[in-house]
Amino acid sequence: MGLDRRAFLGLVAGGAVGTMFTPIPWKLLDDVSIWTQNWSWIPRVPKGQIDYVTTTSKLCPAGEGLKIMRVAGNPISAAGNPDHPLSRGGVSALARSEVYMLYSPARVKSPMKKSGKGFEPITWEQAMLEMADKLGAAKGAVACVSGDGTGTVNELLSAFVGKLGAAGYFMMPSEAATAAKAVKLMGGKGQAGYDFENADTVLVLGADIFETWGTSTRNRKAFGDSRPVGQKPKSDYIYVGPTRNNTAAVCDQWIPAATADLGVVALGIAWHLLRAGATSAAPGFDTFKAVVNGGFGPEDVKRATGIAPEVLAGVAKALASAKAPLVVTGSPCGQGLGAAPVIAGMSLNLLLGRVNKPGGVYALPELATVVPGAMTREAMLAGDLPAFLKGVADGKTPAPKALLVYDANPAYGLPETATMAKALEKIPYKVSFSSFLDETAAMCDLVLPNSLTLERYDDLATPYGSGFCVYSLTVPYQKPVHDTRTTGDVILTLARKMSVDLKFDNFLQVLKEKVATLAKASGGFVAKDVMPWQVAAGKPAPALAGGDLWKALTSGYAWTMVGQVQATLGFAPEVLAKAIKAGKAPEKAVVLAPYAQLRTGTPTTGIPCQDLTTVPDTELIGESTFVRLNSATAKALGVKKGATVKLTAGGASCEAKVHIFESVMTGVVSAPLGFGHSAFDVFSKGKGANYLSLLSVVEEPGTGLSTWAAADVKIA
Amino acid sequence: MEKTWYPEGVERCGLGKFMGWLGIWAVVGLLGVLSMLWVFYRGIGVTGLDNYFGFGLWITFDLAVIALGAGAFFTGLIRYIIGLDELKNIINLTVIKGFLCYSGAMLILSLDVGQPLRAWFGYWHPNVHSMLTEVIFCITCYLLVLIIEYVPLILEQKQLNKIPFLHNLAHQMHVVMPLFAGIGAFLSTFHQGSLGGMYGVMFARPYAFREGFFIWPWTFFLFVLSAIASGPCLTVLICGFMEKLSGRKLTTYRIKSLMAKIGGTMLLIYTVFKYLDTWAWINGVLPKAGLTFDQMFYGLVYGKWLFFTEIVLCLLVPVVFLLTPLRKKPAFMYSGAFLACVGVVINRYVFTVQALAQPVLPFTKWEIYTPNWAEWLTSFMVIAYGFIVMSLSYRYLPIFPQEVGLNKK
Amino acid sequence: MSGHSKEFPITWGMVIDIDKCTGCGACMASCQTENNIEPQPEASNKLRSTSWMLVYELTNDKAFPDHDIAFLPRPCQQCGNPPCVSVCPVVATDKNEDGGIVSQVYPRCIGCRYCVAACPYHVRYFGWYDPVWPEGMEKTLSPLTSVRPRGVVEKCSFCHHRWNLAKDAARASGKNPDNLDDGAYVTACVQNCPSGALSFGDLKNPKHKVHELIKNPNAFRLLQRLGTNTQVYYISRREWVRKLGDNYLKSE
Ligand SMILES: Nc1nc2c(c(=O)[nH]1)N[C@H]1C(S)=C(S)[C@@H](COP(=O)(O)OP(=O)(O)OC[C@H]3O[C@@H](n4cnc5c(=O)[nH]c(N)nc54)[C@H](O)[C@@H]3O)O[C@H]1N2
Ligand SMILES: Nc1nc2c(c(=O)[nH]1)N[C@H]1C(S)=C(S)[C@@H](COP(=O)(O)OP(=O)(O)OC[C@H]3O[C@@H](n4cnc5c(=O)[nH]c(N)nc54)[C@H](O)[C@@H]3O)O[C@H]1N2
Ligand code: SF4
Ligand code: SF4
Ligand code: SF4
Ligand code: SF4
Ligand code: SF4
Ligand SMILES: [Mo]
Repeated sequence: MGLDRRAFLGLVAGGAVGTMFTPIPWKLLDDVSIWTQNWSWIPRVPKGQIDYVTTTSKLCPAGEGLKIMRVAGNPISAAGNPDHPLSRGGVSALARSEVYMLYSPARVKSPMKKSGKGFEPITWEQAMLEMADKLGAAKGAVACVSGDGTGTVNELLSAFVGKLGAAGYFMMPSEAATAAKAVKLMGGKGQAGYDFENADTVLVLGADIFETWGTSTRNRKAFGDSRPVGQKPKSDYIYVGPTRNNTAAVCDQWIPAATADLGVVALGIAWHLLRAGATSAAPGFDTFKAVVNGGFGPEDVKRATGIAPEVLAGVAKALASAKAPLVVTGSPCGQGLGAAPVIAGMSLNLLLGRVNKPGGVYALPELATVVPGAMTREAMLAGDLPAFLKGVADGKTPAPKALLVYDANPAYGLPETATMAKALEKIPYKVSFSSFLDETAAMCDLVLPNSLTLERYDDLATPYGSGFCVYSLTVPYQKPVHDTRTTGDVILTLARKMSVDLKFDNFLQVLKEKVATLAKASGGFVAKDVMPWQVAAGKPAPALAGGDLWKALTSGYAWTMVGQVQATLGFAPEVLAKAIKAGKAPEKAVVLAPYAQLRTGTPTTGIPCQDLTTVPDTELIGESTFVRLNSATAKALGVKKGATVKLTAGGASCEAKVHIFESVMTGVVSAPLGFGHSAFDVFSKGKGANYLSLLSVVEEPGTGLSTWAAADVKIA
Repeated sequence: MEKTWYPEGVERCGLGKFMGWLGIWAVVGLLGVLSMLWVFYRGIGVTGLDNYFGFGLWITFDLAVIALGAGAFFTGLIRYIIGLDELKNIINLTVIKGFLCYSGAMLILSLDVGQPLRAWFGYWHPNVHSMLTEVIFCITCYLLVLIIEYVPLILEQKQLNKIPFLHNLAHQMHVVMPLFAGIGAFLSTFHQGSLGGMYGVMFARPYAFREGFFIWPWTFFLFVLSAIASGPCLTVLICGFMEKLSGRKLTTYRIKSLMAKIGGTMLLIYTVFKYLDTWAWINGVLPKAGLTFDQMFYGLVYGKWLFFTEIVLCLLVPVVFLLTPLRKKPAFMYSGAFLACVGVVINRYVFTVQALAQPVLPFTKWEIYTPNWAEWLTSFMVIAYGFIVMSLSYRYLPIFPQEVGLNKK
Repeated sequence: MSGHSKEFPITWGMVIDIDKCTGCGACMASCQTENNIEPQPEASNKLRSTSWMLVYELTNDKAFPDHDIAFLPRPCQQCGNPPCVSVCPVVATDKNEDGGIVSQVYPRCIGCRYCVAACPYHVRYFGWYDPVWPEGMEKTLSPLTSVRPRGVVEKCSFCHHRWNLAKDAARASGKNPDNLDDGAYVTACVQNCPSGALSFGDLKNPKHKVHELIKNPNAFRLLQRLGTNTQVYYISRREWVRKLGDNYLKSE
């Protein structure tokens, strides 16, 4: 039987028509909505049981407790942990990145060894062998840079390096170091802690307290609580600084003042307080009074800063009449401020009688070390990394033979970036423990990737700015995504290989020991129903149920303690007299005043990929970053809105586009930090310029501290 | 051999020259096809459109082309329904033009929707309150009508017409043509209106928003009027252009002049309403929204010059050119028709782009939209397609009943 | 003006205290990950990038030193009389459900972008390309919102899925899912804002604090005179900020 052409066509046509009377084509057609939603290249969402676990952010300097959503056991997203005193449910854009950054394209996926200009992956075994060998040879001249201001891993690193023969242990520069120096010069002890929760009038000198300074998420929670929505504010915040930054934007008053003048402003306010009869029993008061009256009268201050006398008189009055005033000093860009302005600001707290008082400044004790031979935090903070590296670059300081870099990116995150890179080049053997391929890692001989927060045990002890002692843990909730290890464990393995005794077998043991010592400390408690600031305000501290502390900490709660070290803070008037001068405002110079924001990450994280979306187009467009100046400054310089200009200072130069922004004081050009990476991934690399490179390191008279919070720049 | 396909008694240029002419347009068309494929493959991210300008060149192009294509339904209406028989001498041209405009617009629309495979959802899950639903319905239906109107023209081709079945079909279709002209007129009036309505109902876009009559904002009626004013004008321009190009007379000046007069008349009516509407917009819609006339304009591409060009140069001037004895002079007739067409293009542009660029939120600013190559090339593709189909139709189909008579040596 | 506001017994709304917002962007970042929005390397092109929540910088337009700034976070205003809904040819977006959340049904949307044109708040975002996550990062997608293919419009949903979760939780604990406690349902942006600038709740429920907040004399809504009747309210003690919420003639 043959099927002729006609019959075949008939069959096809009949079949086609017949099919139209079945549901098949209609179903297929209707299903278009489904399959056009589910192309194979559109990622599927994970399915499974949802649950929540808690940990602590190590990427974000604000140290928030985190609540992690998981699906079928896999972390999905990070939110603030409402039970954690540094978070109370809030989270920064940076801490929110903790989960997805596990899969950042910039992550170092395995140990890597430099080979030519690039790297080749090696095994952990090979890496350990090589490092044991090289560090053994470098004995006596091993230095370490750490960017983790709060972790016990510093104890291991400092003990290890110390036992190898340290050429120095340095923390990346921070506000904590500046404050520590100030407290020391004032004859005090402990870490300055600021009780925002109980303060009602806060004078902020420079510090970007709601963005980069200290425990910013907690600071903002405290601020928010004192401003119930729709009601009269229960607090008064005054900001002094060169720009109306994110902090100043919500403050009740902004007093424009150059970063270099913050100390002058503080002493100018002191003048008014003294005149109104303020007095203090703290050491050095009489000399302090003489210093202030001798050079910081209203006219002196006006000449130096342009601030009208009645403005500062008003501030003084607001502080003096407040129930719980508090003065906070810091750098508008989170680094590089001198110790003297901090001392000047602190002297206001002394005058107001605000030291170790609820709503004032506490001198917080340091938690006991557990690793034998470890440095204390105080000792670590005493190192001056920019000064050291500058010395190395200039050949004045011998270069260490080996350098360990932990959670730090000195090749990007220091002032005079070019000088610092030059110094790093001089160090023959460098190892980075970075999780991401940052600028420093790219220069190192070996990169030994640290596991990220959600992949490792780690801890966080009293970040700078916290008004109370606080300790919380990070707990690994997933196997490392890549071939990474916890640096604490790596150091311990290495130490064993090199026969250096660090007492512990693994990092978990170190943390358990740390927690065990906390359990013994008196006055400590787990913040649950009672929060530390309530205890500061008079509520009795709950007892600590000793044995359960580890369990409580791994369940996301924080150990806290309200207390102070007994040491008398004095005025350090000699330092003030040397370092702070109400000179005449310089004519015509344009000063660079950088600012930093958590959404552009830290030098170690780069710009977290989702946070790039939050950067406005007045900061970044394509590959260009903007600097901000007001129209008067722009006119004086002859630059126009949107123009591309070149900023030159200290032998370095950067490109920028001009954004006319009237909330920058005249004579100041404000520039965002966190851009201009030459490493990391598509979300960071090549986006704008790194304005830190324009800042020169200057030694502060009277304190010897390296400073760089501002610089004179040329703009063309 | 090829000559046997020409309509009876006409002359055409040599095949080589014709192929050369088609070749030029084929290249333009091919570039457009390639960019179209690229758009389908990568998505409309490859265009210059963005989240401010969800509508851009493509929509402007569609609206303009649809308005200018309105000559078809309106001429059909006058010819078949009102019975102005003289128009039979130009009706074929308007039908082809209409078909080209609408099929071209459909092509662009299929590019413009983000999910072309779902384009038919407008039928499946219609929102009867949406002007766009009405547009989707009417345009697709009207395109069918235009096809039905175009097919008999093709069937009348000399060689095809020799086939008895096709001959009869063509004849039967001609008999029912008044019915389709009627349907076409209805559908077309509606979607021209709905296209205008689309803008007029956007009550949170004060540049475009208009009060109106019953469920229709004034833009509904204005779009209808401006379309039927400019449609005949474009027919005249095309006819004149074809005559210039071919060097042959295709219709009498009288016919073109009649079309121009019809267009001019409608333009006058439109002008009256457009002026009233603009007055009401400036004194009603804008102040109610807290905005002023001056705030509706910005810089060059959104400047006031566009406004005055549209409502003075492209309304009053062509009305005078087309409705006074000046029309007798070709220079005035053609420039009047041209200005009328330019006016409607500007109108569609400002309603599409300027309406979206105008910052309604006080803390936002004017944004500039620049179409990119993907939008231009695909738009030119449609123009090339129009030239090719029109050229083929002219060469092989008996479009102009007067051509033979007018060109007797 | 045109259209009519629909009334719902439950009306979810947000109250945003502009005077508390520092412009940090945590709400934006929270929304991105909560709602499976892909990371965007070219995010500096604001006309193309997707941010359901967007923080605007407002200024009083004065020169230094009289200049002032404020930050205005902008989710979908969930208009009571939504300009975007009636225009959609295929009912891919609707305001039909208790709570008054304007829905966006991705499998239905044909991507015509008419709603984008109609919304004056720039709330609606189009998928210009298929979304791409850095390798492995799709493991962190939320199971609660679908991933959109290119070619459809998307927008803030008030984290609608969280409402479902809250109702489930209420049912599980024997409570009335139609009378949730204040705070039982909050959106991702509201939850994570470190300043507490954002409040969320049922505007009609006297137990919810937003119910009172919207009566505050300093409360205002964006473009109220256009008749959109939004479910998002802003509060500021500063008059210039309140004035920026709408357009005013010089005489007003
Ligand atoms: N890539 C990828 N895509 C998927 C899936 C996947 O696994 N991967 N899963 C598929 C599956 S199984 C599903 S069920 C879908 C889910 O995907 P969708 O149905 O898209 O679900 P959502 O994205 O959660 O919500 C869509 C919108 O519906 C609105 N909405 C929710 N409930 C209501 C309501 O009751 N009324 C109204 N008017 N609006 C409402 C929300 O506000 C939101 O805007 O995704 C499908 N698509
Ligand atoms: N609580 C809660 N319940 C829900 C939902 C919710 O959001 N929350 N969502 C609802 C929705 S929208 C949906 S679509 C459903 C989805 O729920 P289900 O229909 O259960 O779909 P899945 O969980 O995706 O997959 C079901 C199982 O099929 C297995 N499987 C995969 N491929 C195959 C195969 O080829 N053969 C066989 N035999 N098994 C296979 C998978 O491994 C999985 O174990 O859940 C609904 N239920
Ligand atoms: S998270 Fe809060 S403070 Fe930050 S931008 Fe959003 S609303 Fe403002
Ligand atoms: S804000 Fe825009 S998207 Fe949201 S409901 Fe209103 S008009 Fe629609
Ligand atoms: S883009 Fe989608 S939701 Fe918007 S109007 Fe078109 S179909 Fe409706
Ligand atoms: S959009 Fe999806 S759920 Fe709705 S009718 Fe279409 S296929 Fe069904
Ligand atoms: S409510 Fe949810 S979807 Fe809307 S902006 Fe906030 S986080 Fe995004
Ligand atoms: Mo589903």
